[in-house]
Amino acid sequence: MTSTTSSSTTSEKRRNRIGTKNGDLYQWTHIPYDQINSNYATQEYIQDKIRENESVEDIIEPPESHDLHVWQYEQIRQFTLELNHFAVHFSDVCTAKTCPKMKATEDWLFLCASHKATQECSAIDYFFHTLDNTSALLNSEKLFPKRIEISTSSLKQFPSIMRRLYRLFAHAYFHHREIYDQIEEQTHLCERFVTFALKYSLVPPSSLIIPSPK
Amino acid sequence: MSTISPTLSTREDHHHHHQSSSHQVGEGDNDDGCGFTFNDNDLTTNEINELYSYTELLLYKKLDLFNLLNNDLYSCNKNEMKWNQLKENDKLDYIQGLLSQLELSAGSNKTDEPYQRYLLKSRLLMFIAQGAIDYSQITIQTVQSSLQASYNNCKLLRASNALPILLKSLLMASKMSLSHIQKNQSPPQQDTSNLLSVPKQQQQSQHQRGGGGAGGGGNTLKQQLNNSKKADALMNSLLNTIYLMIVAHQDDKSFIGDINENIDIQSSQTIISIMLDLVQEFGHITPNIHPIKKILMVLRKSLTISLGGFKELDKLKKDRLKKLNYDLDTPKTSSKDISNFIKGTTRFHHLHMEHSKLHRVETHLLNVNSKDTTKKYELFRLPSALSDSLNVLEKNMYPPLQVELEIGYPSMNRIDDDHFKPRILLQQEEEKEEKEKEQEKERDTLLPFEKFYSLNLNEMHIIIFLLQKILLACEQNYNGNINLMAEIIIDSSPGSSASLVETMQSTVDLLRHKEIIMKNIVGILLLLLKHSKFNHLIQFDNLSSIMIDGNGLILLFKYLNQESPEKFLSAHNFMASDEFYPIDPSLITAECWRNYFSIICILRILQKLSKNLPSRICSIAPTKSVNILKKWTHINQISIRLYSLKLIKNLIPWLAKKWRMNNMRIITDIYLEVPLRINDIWLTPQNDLPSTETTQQIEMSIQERIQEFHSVNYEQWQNNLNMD
Repeated sequence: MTSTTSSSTTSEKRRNRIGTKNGDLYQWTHIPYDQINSNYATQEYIQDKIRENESVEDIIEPPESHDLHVWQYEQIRQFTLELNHFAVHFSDVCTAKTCPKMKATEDWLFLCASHKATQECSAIDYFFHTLDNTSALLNSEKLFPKRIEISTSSLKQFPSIMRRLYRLFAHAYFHHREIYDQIEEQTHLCERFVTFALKYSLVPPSSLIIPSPK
Repeated sequence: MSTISPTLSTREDHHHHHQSSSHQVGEGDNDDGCGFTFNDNDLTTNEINELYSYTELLLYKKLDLFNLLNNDLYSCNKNEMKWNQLKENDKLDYIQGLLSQLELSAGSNKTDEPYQRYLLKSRLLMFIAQGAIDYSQITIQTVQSSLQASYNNCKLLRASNALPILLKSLLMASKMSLSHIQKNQSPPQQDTSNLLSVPKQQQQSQHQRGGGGAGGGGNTLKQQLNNSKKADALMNSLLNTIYLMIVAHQDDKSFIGDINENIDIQSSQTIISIMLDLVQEFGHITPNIHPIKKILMVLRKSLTISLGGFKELDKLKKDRLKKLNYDLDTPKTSSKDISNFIKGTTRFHHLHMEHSKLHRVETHLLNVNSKDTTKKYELFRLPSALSDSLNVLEKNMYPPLQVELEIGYPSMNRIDDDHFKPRILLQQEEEKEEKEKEQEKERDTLLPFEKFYSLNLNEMHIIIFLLQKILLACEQNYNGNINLMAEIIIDSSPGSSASLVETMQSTVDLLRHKEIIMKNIVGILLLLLKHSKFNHLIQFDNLSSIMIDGNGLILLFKYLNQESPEKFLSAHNFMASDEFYPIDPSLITAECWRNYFSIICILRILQKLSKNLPSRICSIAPTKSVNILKKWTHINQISIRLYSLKLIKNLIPWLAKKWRMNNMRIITDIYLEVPLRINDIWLTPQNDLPSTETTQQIEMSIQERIQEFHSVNYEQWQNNLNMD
């Protein structure tokens, strides 16, 4: 059953009806930001753009006069969602035996900051601890009570979140190259992540250890 | 029938003249005698100077951190730009890079490359927090500009969210340090020594076990230094950075949120709880190389910011009384004065007297048997003169009734036990909505200490016991387990002994080190006592009885027992040119700020602990304690004089008539300078010292009240611990 029933209201069109097959999901056209009539307009806007396979620059470019802090928050939220799918691809090949430590190169052995004291975790544990921690942070009532306004004191969480999420790419690149390349070819997720991080100065260039393809 | 003292008017004049408030001198009082003003903090440069020991500073100077920073900048940015030439965004980027380096593994061996790299990065962060100025450029003339540079950089660190990462690294470093000790030594000894070997030992928690500890090394300084290990270098640099960040923001109200913030979304640890954990690690595991002075400094600063300093607390008290229109400049009365007055005037309770006035008082003040009656108030009539007197007594009652109810003052024969029930922060009560809303507002204003108390309830006795233990270790002839030497070890190469200059510097360093530790510990203890008394009396009773159990009175009197108080207060245990911010010799005052601060804190703590409790006042023979206190009355500083006189006033009833005859000057000074209550019986001689049985009974009844308070208010909540 498809969800192509035309309707005069925008909100009805932008809904996956029960029973829709995987391939038929999200069958609505991308509309300009100011026409999206939803509480989660920014999230939907970003996700539409990704689905439309727009360029990396277009996806991270905010609509006109959009609150930049909220934009960053929504983008980071989106990255966290996508990185969860990303991590699942490695759960078979990256285990406590194959990757007992969270490494990129020999120089970069990362400590997991999701615990009381920073400690060494296996790579796959690092993945999921960091993603869980990030999700808890982004959903925290204390730090981010509203999605339409981000307080200045919560802004300082963004660089540390981005820095830790980047390490997932770094480990995947240096240790699980084939899978990394496969995912990157399809999604350009890492490229988008890095471009976004550099655009908003959330990760210092010295920490970007994956060689740039260009 | 009790009468109001006929000399009330002259006493009021003296009150105003000496600027005394109702029961204590206001914070920040200025004395016309000496240049010392009691305050939360010394000059900022002095507070930062105290962070470093001279040996530590020598080490940092040898490391040449300025060039190390520039080399690291070059390797990151690939250009020759120095720190001061960078734009703000580039500085933030670089700081982010350093912080991400703190999330790399440091390995398990301190001699390996990962650890050395980790240590270097933490030192670079510390150097940035210090202002990123070459140490040789910090001179007397450039102190202010260096301080400003340090402030600016600390603001950048705050904007980069450095504090949680530094704290997590600190925890990791302490773990590494302790496991390193375990590897190199026999199993770490749990410290089992008693606080003081005096006959009177109250029952304490499991921490007080019998047997003294092993000797703490030889008596000579050189032997002690040889037997000690250096403080953990990584912990040093991390704590320095944290402290500098706190000092830079101590006047910023928005920083309170940073101090109270959990270091992680999934952890309930805050900076204060981490410091308390580190103090416990230091106290329990020996030998230990935690830099305890720095830990105590960070703890005191963060408690002052989080709970509020002495000045703020004073303001809160004044505001609370102002709301009730209580006049601070009038002599105080107590509920006992009122009940005695009413008892004495019962024959005038006559319904049909001409010009009589109606009074309504709480039944407990009439000392009626509370079991018989359910009435809260009693009505009676008094002639106008007596009525006016009663009004004055009621008006000047301290603490005012409203405050009594709030902070749980036990009154005799109080009918309604609910009044005795304290406010409960986290437990839900079934009360009227209006009352709940009122209490909600009050809770909000007093939340920080209540939160601190409820979170640390189980460890409170351990913490205070350990703080007192470390305070004892600051004593000159200490021979116990606690070793405070780690932070001042001379870094001499093997085979050569330290030079004469270095040894001299060590002596000064050690004295200074101990003074700073003492200042911070007594500052913390006084702050906690004052906050607890403001918040709830039984919390105060709890803290004070823990201190008494740990022989706090004796310990504090030990420090008061100086041969020459003047010498102690004008001690110059520092080397002006060797400090981090060099001190201008022409600006050095005669007074030693930290020693003045320590003595005033000690006197105030003693007064708080022993006020209205003769059993505690007499725990040290009055003749001995009065001789110790007498010396301090000669010091021309308002707080020292006032509190030493107050303490002597407590002792007067147990001193012989001969003593009074020979010390009329002191009696006169007390009469003139110490605020006296109406019907104060301080001059009435008591023939016998309170017996041991009486003492034990009193302490036991205090303990019972404390346990009831805790079980009613905190046990249920603790069982369902569900903190967010």
